Amino acid sequence: MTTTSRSQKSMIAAREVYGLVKSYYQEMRQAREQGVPVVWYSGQAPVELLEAAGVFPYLIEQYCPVAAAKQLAPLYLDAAERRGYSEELCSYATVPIGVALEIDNPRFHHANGGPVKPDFLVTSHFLCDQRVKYIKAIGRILDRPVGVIDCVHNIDIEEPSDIKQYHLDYYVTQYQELIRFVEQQTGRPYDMNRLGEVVEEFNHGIRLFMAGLEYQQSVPAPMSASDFFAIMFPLFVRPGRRETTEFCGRFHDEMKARSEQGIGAVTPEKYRLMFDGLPMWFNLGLLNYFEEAGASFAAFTMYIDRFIELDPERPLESMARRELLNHINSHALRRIEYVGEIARKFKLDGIFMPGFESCKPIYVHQEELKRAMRGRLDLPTLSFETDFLDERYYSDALAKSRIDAFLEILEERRAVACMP
Amino acid sequence: MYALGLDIGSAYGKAVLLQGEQIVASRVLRTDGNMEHTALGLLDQILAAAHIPFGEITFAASTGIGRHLVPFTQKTNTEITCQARGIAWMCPTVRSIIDIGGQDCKGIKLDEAGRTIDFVMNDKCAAGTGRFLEVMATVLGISLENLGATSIQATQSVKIASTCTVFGESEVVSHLAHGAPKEQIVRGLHEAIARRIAGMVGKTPCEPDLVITGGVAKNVGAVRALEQVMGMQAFVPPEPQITAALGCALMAERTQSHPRPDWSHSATLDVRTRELS
Repeated sequence: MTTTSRSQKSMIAAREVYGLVKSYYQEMRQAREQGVPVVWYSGQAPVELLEAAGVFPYLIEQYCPVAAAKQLAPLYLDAAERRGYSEELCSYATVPIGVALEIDNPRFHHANGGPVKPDFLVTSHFLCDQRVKYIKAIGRILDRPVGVIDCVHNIDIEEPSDIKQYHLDYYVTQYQELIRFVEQQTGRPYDMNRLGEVVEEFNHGIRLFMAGLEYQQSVPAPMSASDFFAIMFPLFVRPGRRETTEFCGRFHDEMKARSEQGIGAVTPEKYRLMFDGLPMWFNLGLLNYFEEAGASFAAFTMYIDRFIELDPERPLESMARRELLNHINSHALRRIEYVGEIARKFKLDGIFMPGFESCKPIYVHQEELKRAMRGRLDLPTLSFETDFLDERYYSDALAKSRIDAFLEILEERRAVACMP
Repeated sequence: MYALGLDIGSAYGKAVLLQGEQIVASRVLRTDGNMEHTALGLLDQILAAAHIPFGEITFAASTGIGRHLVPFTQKTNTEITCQARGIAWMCPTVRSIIDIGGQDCKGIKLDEAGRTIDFVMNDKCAAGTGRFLEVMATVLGISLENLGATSIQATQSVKIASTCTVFGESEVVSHLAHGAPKEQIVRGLHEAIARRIAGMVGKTPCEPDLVITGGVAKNVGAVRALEQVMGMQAFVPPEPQITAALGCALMAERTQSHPRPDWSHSATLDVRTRELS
């Protein structure tokens, strides 16, 4: 595979994340040494709830981009496929399965030393079913218990007022069951007051982060895509911690300063794009290809949908509301509204949405979303089939030929718009 | 004042020479694996056909997968933009183009001004491209040029389920072994790729007027199958392989006011320039 050069991080906050990720793995090993339970959880499982439980919550999916960036993902995919897991599965499922299968292999060199074995695992049906299936598979491979939160998909909730008490009860009952599961595993009573404190801290971090993100509306946009995908780490993976809130504060101040000084991630900024979805973690350098042509990514859709303030007085109920209102768990029109709202806000020229065929819940709506963005907002879209982690589904030459053609469309539109 | 457009594709190189907006000469040349050679070979042929020295060409532009390998190009554009420009110039009422080349297949949607609104291309698979038909022609023992004429003789078709080149080949072999008539198999192949292409270009989606370009557009059987699946009439330009080169030449023609760069850095071209001028 031919790739472009390494991705460029323009922000100090983004460069700081490398050290934070290393610390994450060191702290996990220290937790094991100190007898603190290590809990593997899948994306969008209720991490705040685990953070308050006195355990070390480890997002196993966080290892996926790390492994892909270090070109290790093919080894984990191979390990899983040799045991019969299909290549057609989501690679966010097969890489963690490969990690579990190879965790005791002394000849396997894991990135950052790799994760330590979990004491137990927690997952949720958020977005897709494969999350529960793969975490259950890891539970069997490592002989560890698994706690599961069920999520309701495609429900007809358009507005907060559409949420009924039985919706909330369904989630809250499960959170309470998960708390009992955690108590059984840790042998300690769960401290609800501590959950309130974690939620307070989480809210503080969110307020700083989202205020910082508002500066991305500046022209030129202060933050690059490669900055964004790094900067997400603390708040998405380690919410409700003081050091995360402090990081969000530094991010906010840097965004403010860059915006006020007119410092852009891409200069001159010819085109402003939205990045809808996740990147190809094994080739973040592809982002440079856009940027070299003057295209900056001003807006993003992933992760931030999670950054909604919770109620410290009623944390379980507010967590339930967050899941119920999330566009990804809803239907196509909610997702179209969500993406359209961001597109309008950030004054965009186009949208890049990589096509991850293995991620069915996102992929199934993609064509509808593209048509809606073209029809309603007159925004051209670029999409090609690839994968977040599996580079067998990626061709650098094909990707670049499509990007070139997309940029030519933007250039032609710009030329027409500038005509007297 | 001549403008040259070259489309260096995976299977063929194509060139169009314009004087103003008049086509002076055009050529199609099979690639030999070296795209720079193909470009230079096309240059030789086009200059000979037009009876002009190299120095008469005021602007040269290139497109296609090998566009960056043309040593004398002054501007590159993707096939999407060039194809759209060429077709819009030939037929301004066209809103959709299906271009089926050797290794890829594209759907392009145009607005009323002939600008590209959207496009879609096949991903990493030769199904639904010229290469698929080339392989099948070899298995069937029919020349590529005769596939179209063979298939329109059939009154019915043999169902081909797979458009994967490898699985499709096995399926064809199996049908031959069971004594299926070749013309019915060829018709089935055309229907299979038509379904595949229609599924892909449906994402843009297609609207009339529809034009089919690329080498496969010369295959009447494939065009008929596509028309049937798409439910609309398709137009095929007189020389469907050169339309992207034509668009490229048109873009070169409109850029002629730019000064020609110093081409002396290219040793190969330097020799050739002296020979041809």
